[in-house]
Amino acid sequence: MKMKRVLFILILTVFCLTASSCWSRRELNELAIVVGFGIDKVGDQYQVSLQMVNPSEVVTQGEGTGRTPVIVYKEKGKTVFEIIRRLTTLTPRKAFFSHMQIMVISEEVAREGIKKALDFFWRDHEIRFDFFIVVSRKSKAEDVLNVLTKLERIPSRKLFTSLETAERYWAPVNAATLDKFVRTLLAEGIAPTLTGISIEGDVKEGGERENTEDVSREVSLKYKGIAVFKEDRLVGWLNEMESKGKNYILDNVNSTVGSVRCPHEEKHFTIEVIRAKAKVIGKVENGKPAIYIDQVSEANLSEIQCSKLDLSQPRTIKMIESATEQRVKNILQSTIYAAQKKYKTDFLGFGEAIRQADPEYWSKNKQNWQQEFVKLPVHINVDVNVKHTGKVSNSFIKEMEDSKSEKE
Amino acid sequence: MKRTKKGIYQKQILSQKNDSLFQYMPENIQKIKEGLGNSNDLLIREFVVGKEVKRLVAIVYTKGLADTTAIERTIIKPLLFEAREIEWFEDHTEEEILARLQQYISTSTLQEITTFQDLFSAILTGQTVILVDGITKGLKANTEGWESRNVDDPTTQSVVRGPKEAFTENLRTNTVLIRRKIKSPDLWTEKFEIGKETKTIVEVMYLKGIANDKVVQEVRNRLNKIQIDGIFESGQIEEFIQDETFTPFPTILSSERPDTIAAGILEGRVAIIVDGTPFVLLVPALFVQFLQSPEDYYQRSDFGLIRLLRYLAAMIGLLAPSFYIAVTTFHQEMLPSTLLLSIAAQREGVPLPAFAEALLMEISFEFLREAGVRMPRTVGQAVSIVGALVIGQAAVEAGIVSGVMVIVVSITAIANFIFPNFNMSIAIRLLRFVFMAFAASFGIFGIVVCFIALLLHLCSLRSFGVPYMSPLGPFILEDQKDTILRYPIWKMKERPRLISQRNIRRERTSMPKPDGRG
Repeated sequence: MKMKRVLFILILTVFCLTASSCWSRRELNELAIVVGFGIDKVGDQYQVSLQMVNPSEVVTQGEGTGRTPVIVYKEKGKTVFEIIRRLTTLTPRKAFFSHMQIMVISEEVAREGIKKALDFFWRDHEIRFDFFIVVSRKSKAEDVLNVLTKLERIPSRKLFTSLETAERYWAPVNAATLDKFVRTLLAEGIAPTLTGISIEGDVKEGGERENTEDVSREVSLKYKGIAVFKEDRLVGWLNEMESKGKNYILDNVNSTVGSVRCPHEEKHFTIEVIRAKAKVIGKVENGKPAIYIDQVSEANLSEIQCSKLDLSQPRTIKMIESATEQRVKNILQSTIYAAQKKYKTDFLGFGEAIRQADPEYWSKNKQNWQQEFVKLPVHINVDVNVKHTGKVSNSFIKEMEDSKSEKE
Repeated sequence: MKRTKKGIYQKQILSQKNDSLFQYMPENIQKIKEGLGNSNDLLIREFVVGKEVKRLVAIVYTKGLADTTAIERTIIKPLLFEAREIEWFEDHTEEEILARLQQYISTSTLQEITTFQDLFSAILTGQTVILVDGITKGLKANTEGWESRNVDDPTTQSVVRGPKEAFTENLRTNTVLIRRKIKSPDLWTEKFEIGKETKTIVEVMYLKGIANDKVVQEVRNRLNKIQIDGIFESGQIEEFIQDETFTPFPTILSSERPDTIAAGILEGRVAIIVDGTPFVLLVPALFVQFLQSPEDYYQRSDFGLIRLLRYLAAMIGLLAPSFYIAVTTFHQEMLPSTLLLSIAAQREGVPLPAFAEALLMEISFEFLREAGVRMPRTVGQAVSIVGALVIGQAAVEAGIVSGVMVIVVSITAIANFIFPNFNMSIAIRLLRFVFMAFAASFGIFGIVVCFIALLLHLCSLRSFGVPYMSPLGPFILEDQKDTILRYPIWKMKERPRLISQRNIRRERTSMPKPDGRG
């Protein structure tokens, strides 16, 4: 009896294993790992470019065969998925999207609206949401994917990691993953933004292998500016200062640096923000909405050119703080100006703040929020605390200047 | 035809063996010689004893089994020199004759025998039989003494700190090793004789009053049920008395370390010692015991964290190759991108699917391991060199397997050697292949299903009535002191709950405190 049961289970197991026979098994060397995805507009059709990895060229051990570490395939068509499937006529292996690092949308597509192109990525089970979306500025997405990079052998990986690092240490960039972007699209009272990318140097040369062999070859990829959207359409670009302000207001700043003019001379000192916290508070008083921005940051004084400041005096620190506060305030104001007057789009989430403060007011006024938004009064309060001045207090520059004046 | 003839012949001898001894000495000797087929190692010596009335006396023993010097000193010498003066009388009864003879023989035990069955079993266990002409009784004297190995280092369960003695093939030595550790009068032994032909002596040892009487009774019952011609190793006993046959997991602990066995007895377990093997059985055995080394108790208690390492190793040894298969063929999205790329680069150009690759490597490793155990010592070097070169380097360089696979197989192999008990590593080894098959068919889903099935199976097992997975499932809070972690000795005040159900108090020491500070 016992024997029979054991035998039964054994047979069942064997059937289970053989009948399913490695269902939907994909060997690693049958996959083309897609790391970058680019979308352009050609005529009235989309053109998709896929950057795929050539694994044996990527791994550092052993000599490669001299081929490029990535291959870019492109194809035209009406919908994204159709194009991807059509690409199998070109590629030897099936494209595998789970490890996508970056999605490059050309400015042209972005200006037209990108929601049509994104549905596939939102829907397909193989795709993760953790890749970054960027907009290629003044060039085609295909060209961006065609540039070979140094240091990091996979260009898309370079784009991913440099955006990740930049976001942490440099305020004016904005790393948006697919889910973050779509959620902002869906949210009321806030418009999405994306970082822009541009090619520095000759586009043609970027795709040649020599580009990675020369120490200071010109062609490279660089993040530049933030694209501002109204719904899903790109309406304009923020410059560096406005981008910085945007990240300050949205509390996206981890750490950044900024230079501020010295109080009494035409020289600068640099402030490294080590902690920044911003609160956007909406208030509705007597039926009039208003926004209060409260920005607090902790900073270090990390570089100083000024010779007239005596850092050993607490008074001087106060002075530096207030100069910095003024500077931050200017940055914030320029961003708010860009939002309200230049592009007339609420990427700062003021609508969201008002909705949280007074849902009733919001539900009544969300239809004509656009008109309300542009004339919304914004009150800014900035507070900067300088904590440290590095290893020394006074700069050797000041000492040099002092001894010079003593001699005179 | 030939076989049946021989069979009939043997049966005749067997039936004759039950007969009682003859009165006439030459008849007896004839019968002994016939019964043993004139074996060369049988030694019979006859001499005449008595002052006036002389009687023929014979001593019979097996060369090599009996201690010849002891026989010469305690039997032959007294009989030849002192017993010459013995006064026999014609009208002496058999008892009187034997009683007079007994006074001259100086062995520690001396018993009467009356049948040939007794006679044969005596001379075949190394005793010496003394026969006297004219009576139908004989004497047997304990003169056992054969060549045996000395008490040596344990070869399979070694420790850095702790006793370095191991059991030997000699049953008596083994019981001595345990008795020297537990000098309690409550340490009781019971003797069983198993094997129709081998007559192997099996002794059961336990602490009366601490061991569960029901378990002891169950051990008795199960041992008594065994009917077989021969037993050579405790593994054979194990198969007869284990609770569940169809499981890869050992439900009886075997150890060649006296300290392990003694500690088990102290906890209320029952030891089964089989003559002829250094491996002593211990029941009931729990899953967690197979991951415990005696050294856990000899080193500081924080050393007990090593046990966590063993559990980790158990998981790796069981799952590493299957996890590799599952991830590389089904769940490529699970890996970090850079890791995926480096694995993909190595798999580039490998002609086999991951499962075949893993199977190839695992099986060749198993070959190596088995060869390493079984081959003659002198050619050991050759196998390890060939193995390392072929499996390690050449396979990767030839592009048959990927480098990552070699790493996975090596980690698995090392993890598999970490078990203090070899039985458990066999179970894990076997199940690894099942997991690999499931991983190749269903990916991680298959592994999870298989693992759940494994857990269910483990929880269904019993060892002499005690749940195999206790104290984990059923969870027993009190026994966690010595399960995955080992608490300081003074904290382990009680014996394991399910093993010894009474007399569970083990010690009364409280936490050590320096004087004057407490």
